[in-house]
Amino acid sequence: MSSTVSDVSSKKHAFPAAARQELIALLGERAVLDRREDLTLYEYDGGVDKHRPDMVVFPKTAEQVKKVVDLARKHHLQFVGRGAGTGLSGGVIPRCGGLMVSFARMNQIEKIDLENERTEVQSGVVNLDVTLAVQTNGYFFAPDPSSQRACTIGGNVAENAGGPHTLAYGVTTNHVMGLDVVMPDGSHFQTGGLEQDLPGLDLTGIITGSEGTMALVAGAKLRLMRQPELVKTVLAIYNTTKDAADTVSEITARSITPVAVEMLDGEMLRMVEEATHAGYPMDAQAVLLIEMEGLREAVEEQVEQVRLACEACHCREFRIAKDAAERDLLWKGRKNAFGAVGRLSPFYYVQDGVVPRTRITETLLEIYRIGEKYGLKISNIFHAGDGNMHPIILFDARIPGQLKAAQLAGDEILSYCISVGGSITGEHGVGMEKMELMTKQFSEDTLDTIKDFKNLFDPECRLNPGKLLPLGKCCGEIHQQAGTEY
Amino acid sequence: MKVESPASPAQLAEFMRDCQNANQRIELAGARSKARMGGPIADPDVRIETKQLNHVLAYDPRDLTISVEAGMRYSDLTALLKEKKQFLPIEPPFSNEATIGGILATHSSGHRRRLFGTVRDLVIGLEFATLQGRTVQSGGMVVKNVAGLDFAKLLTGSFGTLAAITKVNFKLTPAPMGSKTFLYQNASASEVFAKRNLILKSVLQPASIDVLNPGAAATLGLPARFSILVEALGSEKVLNRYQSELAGFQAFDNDIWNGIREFTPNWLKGHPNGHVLKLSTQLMQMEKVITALPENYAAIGRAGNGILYVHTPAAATIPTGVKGAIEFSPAQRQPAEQLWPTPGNDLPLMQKIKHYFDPNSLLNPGRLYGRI
Ligand SMILES: Cc1cc2nc3c(=O)[nH]c(=O)nc-3n(C[C@H](O)[C@H](O)[C@H](O)COP(=O)(O)OP(=O)(O)OC[C@H]3O[C@@H](n4cnc5c(N)ncnc54)[C@H](O)[C@@H]3O)c2cc1C
Repeated sequence: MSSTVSDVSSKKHAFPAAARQELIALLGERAVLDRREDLTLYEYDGGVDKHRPDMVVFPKTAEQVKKVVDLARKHHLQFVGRGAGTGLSGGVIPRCGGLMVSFARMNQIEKIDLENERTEVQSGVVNLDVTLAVQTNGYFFAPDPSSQRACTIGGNVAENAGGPHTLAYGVTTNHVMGLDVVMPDGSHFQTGGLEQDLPGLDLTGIITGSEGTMALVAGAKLRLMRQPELVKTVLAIYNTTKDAADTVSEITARSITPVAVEMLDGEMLRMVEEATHAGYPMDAQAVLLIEMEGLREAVEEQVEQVRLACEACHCREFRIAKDAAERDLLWKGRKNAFGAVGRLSPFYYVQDGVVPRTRITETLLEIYRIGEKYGLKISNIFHAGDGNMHPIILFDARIPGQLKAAQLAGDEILSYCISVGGSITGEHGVGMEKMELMTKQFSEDTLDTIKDFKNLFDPECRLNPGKLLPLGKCCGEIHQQAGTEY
Repeated sequence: MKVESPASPAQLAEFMRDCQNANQRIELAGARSKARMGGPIADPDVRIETKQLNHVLAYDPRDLTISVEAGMRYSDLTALLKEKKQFLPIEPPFSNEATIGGILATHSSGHRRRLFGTVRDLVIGLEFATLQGRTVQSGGMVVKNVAGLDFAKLLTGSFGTLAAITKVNFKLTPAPMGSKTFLYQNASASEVFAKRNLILKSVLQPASIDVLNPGAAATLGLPARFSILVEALGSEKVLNRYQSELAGFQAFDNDIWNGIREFTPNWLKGHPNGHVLKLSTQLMQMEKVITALPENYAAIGRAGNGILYVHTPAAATIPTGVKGAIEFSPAQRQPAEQLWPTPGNDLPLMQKIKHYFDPNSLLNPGRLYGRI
């Protein structure tokens, strides 16, 4: 099993003129961007790294995607797929330049089949649009990342995205039945299908979450779910972060199964409240946003049990949203949190570590300690129900050393998560941001197998090089240091 | 044939590497409860058994997660969880003998999958040993985790053709407060599926929705008619709500689910030449497929998922136009073209993956329905 790793040095070479012409002939003038000022919009995602592509193309069909890949191969170009660019780990950054394949114009919901609980979409469809298309009929698409107004199904599949409600309903991989994929060698096929348990290896499962390094996804077959009869949202307010975190363990210990348990610490809830006026108390040290869904009788019982759990952990106030408007307001606060942070701090760095649910309290305390150590403010808003922490490290990149400090603080937090049996990423992906930390979480054997696997499908390392694995193990050899220029 | 029973995952990885080096064919075995499943077991040089790998590696009930070795029996695991009022809603056939590794490798599932999914959805991490002697990790011990590739998905349903699963981590569910079963029977399949459709469109969230054809109903001791069985979980109040919503249904003995779970094993015992077809249908397609079956077939459909198990007394083929595989057959298997008649255009990709893990075709060759 020898590996053929090609050199993918990012030494600048001119984009081949023939490739440009052939791409224009294939897609049309208006589906190709390569002016510097246009490309600048495509050099970043929601994270902190940057690199400009040489060209961005906008195919409209799976067949065009396949032809783009064929052309890229012919001209020895590297390429990367792009959804909405909301990723938080640099997954979409073209580290070596090359071609960016944007799925923005592949935004058709091709089929909705409610009776069979399925929909077929092109991969550029925005996550929320799937639910909007079926909700009047009483259905929804379960994965609900906080970025769902912008992020695409292709990006969700690549990152195996989660969201507040994935605590109960599972993450993207639990809702993707099949994929229409173009592999780096130009082969084009369909994995899985509309039916469950098709015989054979679960290619849909292994491609989902491969962070855009294994295949370009042109379309997806998704599972739809029936809306619940009743939804109840409560806000539990605390005087200490510890009490709020303890409640999460208490809820699990009492066998209560809410569909979402989100936590905001004091720092965070004040920023959010100032920006959104969601009604969070300014003087509290933490709040929990807890949601129960299901059959009326079951929800009513659970709300009562959650109240007991919160009270056992000294919750100061327990508010039940009285109607849909109040509920939406509470969620608006949660879902617009990053925007709220942006108002106060020009730069922030979001981490995505996961810990066992019994370790949330100590992890939070450790995060605060690390913040103090580096002299940085860290606020927390996260999916507490599944132990998925999102410490948001505030910094000012214009002050020399602060970006570095923020990155070091982030690494230290994630190392701590690993040390208590957790993971460096729950939903944002490893990307180019956490590559080096992979060695702390996984054995050499594991990393070698991931590398071999990438190599198996992409021996020339054309698709999204320089991601997921530590440099050196990563496919290709990156000569350019990842980093940010401001 | 040599039989090896490694005492640790590390030793298992060594055996795998040794076999590869000696070019020996391997049969991977848990409890061997499913010997009639999948493709024929090729004449192996070595059988590697997981029965000594039967330890619980980590279990903190407050975290609702558990880590076990792959040779652990499902029945031992469920007994342990029961003590802590937790459970793993897999409900696989052969539930007394089956090992966790075997359940994963064959993607065995049960009636509660409408609500809880299958092992594909419940596994949060695993480890496997490759023929190179590597020990590879996927996921971990937390319920949400996207670091690394999701090899667990690849191994689930791979019939041990890629590598040997050595450890498995699950997320757990609190045991339900109570459960209740409801039955409706009618000579007409369309009446039964109409009931099913009402449930699918309703706000009810039953754990199980199974449809039986008259043959399966009779085998279970019910009147020989089309039947729909629904299982609800929850408090008394919740169960009463189901009772009032499920008009025309009668409350029924919960024990029927044991018969459903073990239907296939019992059928195979009684029918040495029997076959079991596993058909993957769309929800709305199932009625047509089940009604087209001969009378002497016994069919159980996961009517909330589209999976249809067809039990036949003798050789049978997958109906045309339907996707699926012959899941169980006698030792004398049919050729691959019949075991798995309609692979998709992604079969070459699967073969490529097989070739990567097992270039000399030593590991459970052909077990994945004769094709891999
Ligand atoms: C405010 C905010 C909140 C967020 N909240 C959440 C959250 O709650 N949960 C969560 O999981 N994430 C969250 N994210 C992260 C991000 O939104 C998700 O990772 C999302 O899935 C990315 O989708 P995208 O379309 O923007 O993908 P992009 O950022 O464009 O790309 C992400 C990766 O997917 C690949 N890719 C995209 N499309 C394709 C395709 N068609 N084929 C192959 N590869 C493709 C790219 O190459 C890249 O590697 C949040 C981000 C922001 C900015």
